[in-house]
Amino acid sequence: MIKFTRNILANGLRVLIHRDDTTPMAAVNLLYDVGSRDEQPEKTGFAHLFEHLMFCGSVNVPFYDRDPGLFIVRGRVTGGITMENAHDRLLAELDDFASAQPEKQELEKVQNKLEATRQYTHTDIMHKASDLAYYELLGDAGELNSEIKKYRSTDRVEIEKTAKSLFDPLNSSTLFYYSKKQSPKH
Amino acid sequence: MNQRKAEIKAKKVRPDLPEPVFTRLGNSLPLYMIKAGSQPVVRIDFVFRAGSWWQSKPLVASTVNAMLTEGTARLTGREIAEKLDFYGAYVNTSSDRDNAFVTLYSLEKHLDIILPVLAEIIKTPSFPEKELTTYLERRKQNFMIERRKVANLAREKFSGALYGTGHPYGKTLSVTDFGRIGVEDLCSFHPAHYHPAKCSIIVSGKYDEQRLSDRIEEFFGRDEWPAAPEIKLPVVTKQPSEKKQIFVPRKGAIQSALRVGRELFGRKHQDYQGMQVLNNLLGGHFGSRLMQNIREKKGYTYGIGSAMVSLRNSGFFVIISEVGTLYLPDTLREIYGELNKLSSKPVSKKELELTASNMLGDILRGFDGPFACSESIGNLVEHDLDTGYYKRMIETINHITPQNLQDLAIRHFSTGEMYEVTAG
Repeated sequence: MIKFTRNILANGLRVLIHRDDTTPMAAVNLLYDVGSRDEQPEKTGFAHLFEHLMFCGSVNVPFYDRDPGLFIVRGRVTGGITMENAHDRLLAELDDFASAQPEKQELEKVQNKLEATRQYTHTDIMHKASDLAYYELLGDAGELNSEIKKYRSTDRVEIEKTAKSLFDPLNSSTLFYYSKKQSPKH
Repeated sequence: MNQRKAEIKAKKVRPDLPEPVFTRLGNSLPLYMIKAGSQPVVRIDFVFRAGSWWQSKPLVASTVNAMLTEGTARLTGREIAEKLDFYGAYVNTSSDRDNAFVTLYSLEKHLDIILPVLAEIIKTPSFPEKELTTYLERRKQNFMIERRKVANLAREKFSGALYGTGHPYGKTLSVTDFGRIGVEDLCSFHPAHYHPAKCSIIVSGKYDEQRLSDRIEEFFGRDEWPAAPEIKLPVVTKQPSEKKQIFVPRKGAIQSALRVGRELFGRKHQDYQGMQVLNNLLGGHFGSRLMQNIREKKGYTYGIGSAMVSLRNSGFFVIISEVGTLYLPDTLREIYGELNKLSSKPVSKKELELTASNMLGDILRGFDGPFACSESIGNLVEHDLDTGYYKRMIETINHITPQNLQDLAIRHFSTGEMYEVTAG
């Protein structure tokens, strides 16, 4: 649980303040609603370039280009496995997911892990600051504190329902990255 | 662009660092407990005097450490992994020249289930043959790839030059070593070095003090875990190389790796803390002289840095970089230029202030949250230092003068004393 107050300055800048008396540190995380998704397709790399320009000061500003609107599975195929095999297997896996409820044990394990990871992440104020800023940017920093409860209350029926609606092959697209040596069939 | 440079104020900062509570378990094992953070998580570190310094055969110390989680008297490696995974707990193992570490991360509420597993991992590992073979095979493959990299070639030759290849700090691995190690080596190393008299425990996080220390006493403070007799190692004298410049050719290398440095001393030496400041100014952070000159101004490299490395029985200073092969001579010239400059001219007050702020920030970050606290306290335990070390460091940082730094540079940065190892 991260307690914070929200202030809005005259120029509209939202300032979240969280007080942690257990650490001698202070952290500031300034997050801009801009990233590589705002780049023109023919002029990429600007978000990264600006990050470097900001090095001119002395502050380390992390930039995120996570896209909250996409669910992505990615991986690298090992030798002897073709891209097509890997792709078919992946779709089959997603299909399995959408057609049956997860085991009770499995769900509990995932819930335990999510809870633990969340708590581990929020042990230092640098991470607390960046997560608060990130959540606020996407909507409401308060959401951050209800996450563990939400993970905990999710049940198998809900997961199956969500998987069904999301993991429809028509809903997905796949990108293959071939090395120079491989000759793609498509 | 409207660029405003932040004014760096010369404030003497004396932050309050959290202090660990020190006690000893029934078997006199030292226990450091430090309350930190507001999340219900706990990190527990075990530091054993069981690094490669203590092995009589290559690979044994690190293999014992890595194999701890591969099976115990009661649990298979798979069962251990599943148990930890189910509760979102992690056990990491690592080892270096002097020490071996076992680290647990867990939510406090799962400790009753996780602590017994951890106790087994530490006290009764079984070192199963099949897992050992797989581990050694994997590590050998990795070694074959890594040993071709110029950075590793330079690192190996550098330690060899400083200490001699017969010395525990200078020895290097060879492929044949992987075939010479067996289960029996692990089974004799483990009880000799993983016992209460060679161990310290560091606990950090948010926890119920009484409850947790009782649990730790129960698992690690009782007679069922006996101490082994002290081991006296034969003294091996250092044999530094006569040659100060060593070049390791590597065909087709695009980049050259370089190491310039010399043996100095560990953290207990009176000059150590001052040398930390001098080192920070020279190559310890992004704004340091080496980085600003050789990366930002000249563009010879993506990164260059220097370090004061502290070992239990020695210590050394080293500058490390990888540069385009073409720029190697120019880079070396600049490095020696920077070293000489520190001896011949006092640093400006402003530059010293910048370095001081940077170092204070580093110390503070070392106490930001439970995980970082463990790390900082662990550093003290590794080198037998008392918990006042960081406070003294802060005083050193606040009081050191440009003249002090110049004296230190004259004493320890004489370029004639430096070893220069290049590879590629």
